[in-house]
Amino acid sequence: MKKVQVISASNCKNCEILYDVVSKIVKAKGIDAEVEKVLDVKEVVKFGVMTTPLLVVDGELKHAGTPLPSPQEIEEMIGG
Amino acid sequence: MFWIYERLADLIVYNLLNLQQGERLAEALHFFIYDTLKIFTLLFLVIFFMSLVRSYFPLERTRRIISRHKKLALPLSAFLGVLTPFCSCSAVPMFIGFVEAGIPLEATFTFLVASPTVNEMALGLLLSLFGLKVALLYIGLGIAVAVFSGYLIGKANPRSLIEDYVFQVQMGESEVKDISFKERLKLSLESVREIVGKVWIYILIAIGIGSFIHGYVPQDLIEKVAKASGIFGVPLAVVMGIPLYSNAAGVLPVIQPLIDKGVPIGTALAFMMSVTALSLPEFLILKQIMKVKLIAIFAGVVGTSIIVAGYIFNLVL
Repeated sequence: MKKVQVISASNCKNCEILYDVVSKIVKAKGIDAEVEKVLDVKEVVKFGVMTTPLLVVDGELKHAGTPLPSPQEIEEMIGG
Repeated sequence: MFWIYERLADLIVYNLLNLQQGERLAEALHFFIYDTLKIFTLLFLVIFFMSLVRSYFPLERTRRIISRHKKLALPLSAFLGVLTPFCSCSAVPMFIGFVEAGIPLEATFTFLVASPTVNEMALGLLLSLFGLKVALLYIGLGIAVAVFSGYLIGKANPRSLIEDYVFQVQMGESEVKDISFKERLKLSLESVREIVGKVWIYILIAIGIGSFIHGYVPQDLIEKVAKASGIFGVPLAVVMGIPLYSNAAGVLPVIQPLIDKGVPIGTALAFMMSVTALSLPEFLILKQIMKVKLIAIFAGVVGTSIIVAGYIFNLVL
């Protein structure tokens, strides 16, 4: 089972959007993955970036910041 | 440049609707049509070009540039603060990243102030409503406010008022992805769509109110109010701006006819800066890294700088 994390900042609208889209894609495509939302700023800088949200799949950074990737791109990133 | 919109407004109001020139309703309607077309055209252009330029300055690159030129860190932070796309929700990782790169705290605060103070939507609206001179003055004053505030906060020796973990977190390495020009154009169009899509309704309502003021509110009434607030006009405008976070869109078109009728323009610019630079949600975000005392110093110093800038502008113009 894959581990998909959306690392967010507080009060970040795009973070909410990304989390929603990721959750929906995983559900709709039946991808074997656990989606987790991480609200810890230390996790953001650990990846060497300063813009949120982050999409991390199995510990690997796939995307950071805005503009958000399209649903197709997200699906590829998760590897569904 | 916008004569074609003027003609179009003439055509609709005087020919199509058959209203008489000089009538209040005709004046208000003409103003509404012309202003709506002009504001949206300029907003599209300014947001598009700002986004295009900003695509070359992601936060990670900005951090690298400033950390390489530490002697020029203060003015560089102010300048890049304007050019770097930045959402206040990224304030905390930005702060940690800057501190870790050895960028002086003065410069980090300068960046923190400059970035929201000069806002692309406010810039677009100022350009449409008041022209290039005022828009450039807004940028200049914004940069000055940022440098001055950053310098003062740095002098206040804020280190002890910043949470310890900020200085301890180890930041990882990441690469800045290079994207093609075509992709940058696409992204810029996307941000136009996103920003204008979010605010168009507020802008239309605000232009509507502005048109009403333009057509129906007598000039001497506004002059009286402006005179009555007198020397307190600027600080009052700054205090009023704090709760109106990021709603430049709904505010500026209302202010424009007021300025035409006698409200000083420095007061309006101070208000604009306060709307974007000082906001309650941002203070809450900053609370994750700063003690309340430092947030109070931050708000006090930035607010005072904006007030001074407003007074200077009113005096000069």
